[in-house]
Amino acid sequence: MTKASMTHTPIPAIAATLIGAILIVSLSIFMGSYWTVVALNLFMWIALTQSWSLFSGMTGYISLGHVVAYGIGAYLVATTFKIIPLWLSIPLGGLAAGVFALIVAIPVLRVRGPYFVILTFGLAELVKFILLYTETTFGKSSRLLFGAPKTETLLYWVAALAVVATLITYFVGRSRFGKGLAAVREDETAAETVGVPVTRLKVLAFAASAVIPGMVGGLMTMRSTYFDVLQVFNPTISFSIVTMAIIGGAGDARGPILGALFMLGLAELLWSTAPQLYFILLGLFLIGFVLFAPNGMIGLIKRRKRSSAGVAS
Amino acid sequence: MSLLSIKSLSKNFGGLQALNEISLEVQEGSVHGLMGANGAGKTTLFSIIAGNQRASSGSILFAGHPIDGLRPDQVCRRGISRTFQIVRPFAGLSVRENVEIAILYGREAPPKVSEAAALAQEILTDIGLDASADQPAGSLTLSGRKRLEVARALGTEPRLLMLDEVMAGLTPVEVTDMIVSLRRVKESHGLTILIIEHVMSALTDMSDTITVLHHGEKIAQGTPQQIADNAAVQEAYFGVAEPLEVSA
Repeated sequence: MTKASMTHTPIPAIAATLIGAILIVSLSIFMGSYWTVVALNLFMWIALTQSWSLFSGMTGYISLGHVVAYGIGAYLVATTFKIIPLWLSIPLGGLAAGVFALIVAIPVLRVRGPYFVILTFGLAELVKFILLYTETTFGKSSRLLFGAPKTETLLYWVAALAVVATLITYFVGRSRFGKGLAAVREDETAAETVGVPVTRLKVLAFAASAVIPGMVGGLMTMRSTYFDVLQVFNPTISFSIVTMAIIGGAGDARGPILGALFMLGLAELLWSTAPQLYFILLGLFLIGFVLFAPNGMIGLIKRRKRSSAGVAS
Repeated sequence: MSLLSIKSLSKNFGGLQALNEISLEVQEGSVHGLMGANGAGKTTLFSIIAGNQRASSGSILFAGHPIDGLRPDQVCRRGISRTFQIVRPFAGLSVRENVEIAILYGREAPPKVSEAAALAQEILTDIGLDASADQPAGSLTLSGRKRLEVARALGTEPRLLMLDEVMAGLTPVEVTDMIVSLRRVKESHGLTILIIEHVMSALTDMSDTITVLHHGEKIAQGTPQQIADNAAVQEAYFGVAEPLEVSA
């Protein structure tokens, strides 16, 4: 009863997110350009995985095509570079990704389980090849982007997006919307029978989860200073997002942060010295988590907390 | 006054006539039983009323308004809630969260998210599940899951509660408990109940009126006593047209 009437105040979570982000940003800039790039990558993955988790973590529909949103944002920003200012083209890139997701949502969300996974993957590849064909037709195999903003500036933007994505996942999880999505994940028939407008919620979450990745894509293409379709629509981006979500745990705003930290940490340790070992270990960790800790690191932490609370009482 | 009014409702799955020209009036405030052997069309009728399936023809009026063609979530917000014969809890969520979702989505005017937990707790207390509120719904026993089906349906604040075999598989003691709980919530929530039940004593005990379906046709309707004495019902169930002669 006490637990039911107890409502957690969101202020500590907001404060922790903001303080953490500000600390990492300032520390990395202080430590020099190498660490600035590491921090940029970290925030990029947090923003992407967090957005993925908003849809896939909450509804259980595993999207293997989130790179489409990233690529669409990158494409819009690259093609309009020096034509419209970045402060406008980046949000437009996010919007374009969201609108695209909204359009494909209705047919795509009719299937679930493995079919949905394959369909999103196939859709991402389809968009990649359509754009590749378009670009080569116009004689643009890749576009150089001179005069992109400095890494520090990009870091501020991407860190801000990571914070926003984290807070969105956090607040949606506590909201009526989030509870409806959880019902969808558990049992769609039962959900609609108790009044949950299942299709509307899924479509909304799907579209919302594409917006921030679109903006991140736009920013990261500025970071690489050239645009290449095969690079920004690289399916490895989708795979990495899912890997981080599995290792960190989806459905809790802390999961994607842990997942991104873990994978980047592992990469930092091994990438330059033993890249083969990196992939072998990553594969082992992935298998291990799927088998023994399907709710990821955050699931392990929660389980430990619960069992120690059980011992204490 | 009839709360639910079904007129010449038919449903066929390909060549199979699951329901044939069924007409039914459920009086406000009553308990209306549905009886019939397996495959008689009882659950199909529930699914059509709740919007999970579409009728092939016929019409359904609820509180004077047509509801056929509405989605299940819309039917629910109009005030009809059903339970599932094969229980469908949100197994990974807590028992309380199961009911919270019904409260937040199933009502015409939902309360604030912060109030839902306390409202859910009240319903769980009503239905005897308050002690399990924090457990994952998947960990409940069958009897607990059946109760959760009812609690979740109540969360949507229905005017018409449709119970699909909520007593099947329960022990006699649990059946008695369930009947007591249902009677209590019917009074406190001012419910009309449409109930499918194979536990005959429970059905006759609770129902004001019973409708008997047989192979998709309505073969009889009346008070429990009238149904027990009805020749057509006896023929459908026992294959004889007249009461058995008991030799001395």
